[in-house]
Amino acid sequence: MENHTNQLIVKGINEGLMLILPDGEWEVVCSDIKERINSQSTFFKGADVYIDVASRDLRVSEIADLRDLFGSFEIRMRGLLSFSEITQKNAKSLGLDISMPQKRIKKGKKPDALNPNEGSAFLVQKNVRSGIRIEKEESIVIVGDVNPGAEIISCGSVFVWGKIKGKITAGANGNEQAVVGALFIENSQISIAGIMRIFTKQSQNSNGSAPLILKIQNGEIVADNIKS
Amino acid sequence: MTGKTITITSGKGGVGKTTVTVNLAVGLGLRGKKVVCIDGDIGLRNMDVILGLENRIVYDIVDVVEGRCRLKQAMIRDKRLPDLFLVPASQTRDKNSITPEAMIRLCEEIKSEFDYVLIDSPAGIEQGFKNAIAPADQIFVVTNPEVSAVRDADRIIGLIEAEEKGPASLIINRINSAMVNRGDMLTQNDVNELLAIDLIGLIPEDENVIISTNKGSPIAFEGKSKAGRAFLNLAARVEGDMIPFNEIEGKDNFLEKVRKLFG
Repeated sequence: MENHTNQLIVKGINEGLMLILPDGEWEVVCSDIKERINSQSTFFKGADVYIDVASRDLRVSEIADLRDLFGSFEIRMRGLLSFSEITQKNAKSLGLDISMPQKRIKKGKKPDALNPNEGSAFLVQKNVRSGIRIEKEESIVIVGDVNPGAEIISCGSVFVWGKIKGKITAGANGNEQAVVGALFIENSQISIAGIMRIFTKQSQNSNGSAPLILKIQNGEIVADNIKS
Repeated sequence: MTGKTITITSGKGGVGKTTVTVNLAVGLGLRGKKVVCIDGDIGLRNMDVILGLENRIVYDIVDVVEGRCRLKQAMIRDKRLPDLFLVPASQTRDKNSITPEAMIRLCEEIKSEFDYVLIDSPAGIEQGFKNAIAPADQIFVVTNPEVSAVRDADRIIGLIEAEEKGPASLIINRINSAMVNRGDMLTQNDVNELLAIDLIGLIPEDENVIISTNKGSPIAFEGKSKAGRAFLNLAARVEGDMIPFNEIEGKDNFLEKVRKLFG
């Protein structure tokens, strides 16, 4: 999501157009949108649009009205991006996307987004407790412990700045380049690209407190100290 | 007067939620506070037994919620403490007889006249748990120093965080110092390390608890017993007193503590 501004911004994106809405009265914003589309109706016609409303809380009726407004110009409103949980929930109930569609994975080509050593990661800054499941396409970084009964699943790599005591799945789509890093590994089940290894408190390597990195080597998961 | 609603919950059954609730209520009552206990375990009530009030129940919480009686009629006054009341659970209904909204309304009404509302949550993470935490201003999670109870406590704390009711505080019940010293039991630090929330109560294992439960006279009335003293300390901490966690070590500065408690 983009920085918030005080004027309506229209950007071209892969999926169509992105409209970043300004702050201020909702009715004023809607009439701004209408004016903008009216002045460039051929440009907008037939487009798929995604709307970014930052932290604004929108009711179901407001979102539906917005969708109808676009509909009247033959524009498809595909998604509504927001930080607001209320808006997200309401948008979801109307069948709108609340995040950008994931990039399609092209056959025979490894997209950069899935290179576990690059790109952005999902950051979790608390202990992941029993019964919580975090599932992401991107790599995941946890600052805290992964407690027994918690599950972390990523297509990329998983790094735990704390103790792993729960279940970790990295390279969930079969990416053997994915790695799992942790300060400590206690009783846990860790898999990378479908290869699983069970750790017990005792199987922690004898170097004690050095952070560990797990990767696939010759078809099995091996543990190594992180080299500086 | 605006009181405070505290919910006592655990996830796992049998860790001592009801015992903790009742004894905390007695501890607060002994400090001169006006306290109402609500038994949230509809269908499996037993707080009335532990308080020794079982034969006085006429109306229960479901009667109040469904409008068959006024709240005051369902509140049973304790035999020993004039400002301690129990709102009993219904034994013939189930958890779905009550909604979180009804619990919030009920607690708001009680809070206007009392210092504390203590809700004893049922075990589990279903409707009864949701009813119990909805009105809470503060939540205490009870656990025993054993892996299965700690695991369930972790799950419960996660759910409390998701409901934005946190941070919860921890009560470790039934710590056996001899077993801890032998290395046969999780220590207070082991539990704290996994759950990572603030500790507010540390209750030693004490067979007097079973005796007092069977007699219907909560152990907190016996301030000289190990567990009784620990519950009085818990009540003092709830009231904001800074009391060190030395329930497990022994009786060293017991007199000093009593002086602090009543002085």
